Amino acid sequence: MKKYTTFILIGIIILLAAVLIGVLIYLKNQPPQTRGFEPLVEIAAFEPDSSKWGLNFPNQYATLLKTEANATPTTYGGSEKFSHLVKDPRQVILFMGYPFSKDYNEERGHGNALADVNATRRVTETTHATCYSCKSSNNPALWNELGLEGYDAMLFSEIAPRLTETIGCANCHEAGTMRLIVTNPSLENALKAQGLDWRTYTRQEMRALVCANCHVEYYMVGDKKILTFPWANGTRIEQIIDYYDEIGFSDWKYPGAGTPMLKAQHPEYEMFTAGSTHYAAGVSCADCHMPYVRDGAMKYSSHNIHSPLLDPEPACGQCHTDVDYVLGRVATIQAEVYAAKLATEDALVDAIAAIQTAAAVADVDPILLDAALTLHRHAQFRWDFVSAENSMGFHNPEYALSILAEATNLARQAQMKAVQAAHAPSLLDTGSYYTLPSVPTPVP
Amino acid sequence: MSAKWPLIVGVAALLLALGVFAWVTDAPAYLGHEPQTCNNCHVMDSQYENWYHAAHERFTDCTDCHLPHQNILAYYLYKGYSGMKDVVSFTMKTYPVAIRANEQTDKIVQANCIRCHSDTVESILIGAQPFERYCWDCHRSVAHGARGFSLYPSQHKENGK
Repeated sequence: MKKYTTFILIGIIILLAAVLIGVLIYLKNQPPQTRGFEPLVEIAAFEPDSSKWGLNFPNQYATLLKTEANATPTTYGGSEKFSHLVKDPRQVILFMGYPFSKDYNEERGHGNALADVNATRRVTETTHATCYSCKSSNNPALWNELGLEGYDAMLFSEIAPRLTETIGCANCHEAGTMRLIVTNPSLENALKAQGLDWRTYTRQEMRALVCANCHVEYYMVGDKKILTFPWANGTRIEQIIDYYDEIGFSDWKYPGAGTPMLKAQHPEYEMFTAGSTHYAAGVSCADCHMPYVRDGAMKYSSHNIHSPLLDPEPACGQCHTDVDYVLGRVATIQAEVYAAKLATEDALVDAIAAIQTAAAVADVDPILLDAALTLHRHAQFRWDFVSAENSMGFHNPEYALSILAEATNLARQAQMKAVQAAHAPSLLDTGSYYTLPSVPTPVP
Repeated sequence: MSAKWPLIVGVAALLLALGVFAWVTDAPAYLGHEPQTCNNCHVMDSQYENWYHAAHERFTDCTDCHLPHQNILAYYLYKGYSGMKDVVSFTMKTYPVAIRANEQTDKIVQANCIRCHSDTVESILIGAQPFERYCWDCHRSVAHGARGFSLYPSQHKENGK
């Protein structure tokens, strides 16, 4: 009898434990509860129309709309559409033979991205759809439907009717969860090439990485013009130049000498993440460009993305107690970078003048001339990496100045190589920009 | 079969059930200091978001300010007490709509302000004036930003957490 009691007791214990564990596992497998807010409307995946998302997030949407009207300039940039070529005509010489020498305007806010790409004179009949990659919230849906290759292989004019929305919610957010995601397949590929996966990034890292959907250096591969980031070796300037040299890529040939030139786009992400002091401190792009603001009782990240200098109190003041001091530092840093940038431009113009003359000399040494062309290519890409980057060096001041120093060094070396190639010491003249008869001023 | 067996099986079953309980509830996380753990409970959404976007986020976790730090015993005793209080009030739904720090919390937070900022406030502490205010009576917005309600922006948690 006692034997049975023992068995029954053990049976009851096992049964109770099994039931308890079963209940716990059942609880574990319950769907997670809805957090934060109850959405008013369900947003479909890849929904391009930001006004629909705006029903759930009126504050964020209302501030996003402000990016269209916000046209305030800053000392070096801002959101006003001015011509860089008129402001600094050296760039007409530097981009000679390339569409940027005809039309190079300061970019405006996200709300104008689609209108401005449709208006630029850099687009021609042969331009590919690739140039829309960063201009519309229709893109995530189109990439999903056509794939990156299918999208980029189309012509600009072919895909134009399908692009109805400017940059919006779907470019950075996943519908439903609202989490930040990489939407540009080229960024996904570029990370993969480095063995990285954005799905392992923290929220704070994503608050910078989503900007890299667009604010990066890129080029287009092959006849299909596949949008590609040159990141396989890494995102530092030398690694990007090595990458382009390895594949022998050039954006255009400089007229006269035929220098294989590179055009830098807008490498904000590469500049900022190259060990800048703010990046090292854990600051993300959104912390300064989308500060946390209050409207009535509600607080939210402003989606009126613009220069923090236009509203420094919430942008800088969250961490820096003395905002005026901070603004003074920014002004100093940017003035120094701007001066260094102009010095580099003068060196580049001198190098170009020497190379052009040397290339026309009958008994020029081809090996030395070739060395001069390579130096010009490397120097100008370095300069452009700072010049085309939208912060006048502030995103990473030390890095920007070191890049410009090397660019100036290489540009002067290019000039000296041209002198050696042409056996003509008179080409060592400096300040050629100031003695040019007149630089053609482009139409703004 | 001896009478010891029900005891052995009972203890083993209990340990197993406890293990599963710890796994299901992510209990070990509560021994740590990750702010995401405090925010497991959605009533902390607004506090979490406000802290996340304010300057102290770079330097402090919730526990740096909200738990006593004079010694490890006080730290874990209060952590246990405070955690159980939250479990009960959340389960019984007795927590207030507007959650405010109570007097006990005020004292703990104040001690922690001084713990880190002692160099800055030394002259106040040893000064002639009575020291009878809390730091945040004036420095309202340092820890959780300006007053206001923050929506948890999405239905996901920290990536990889």
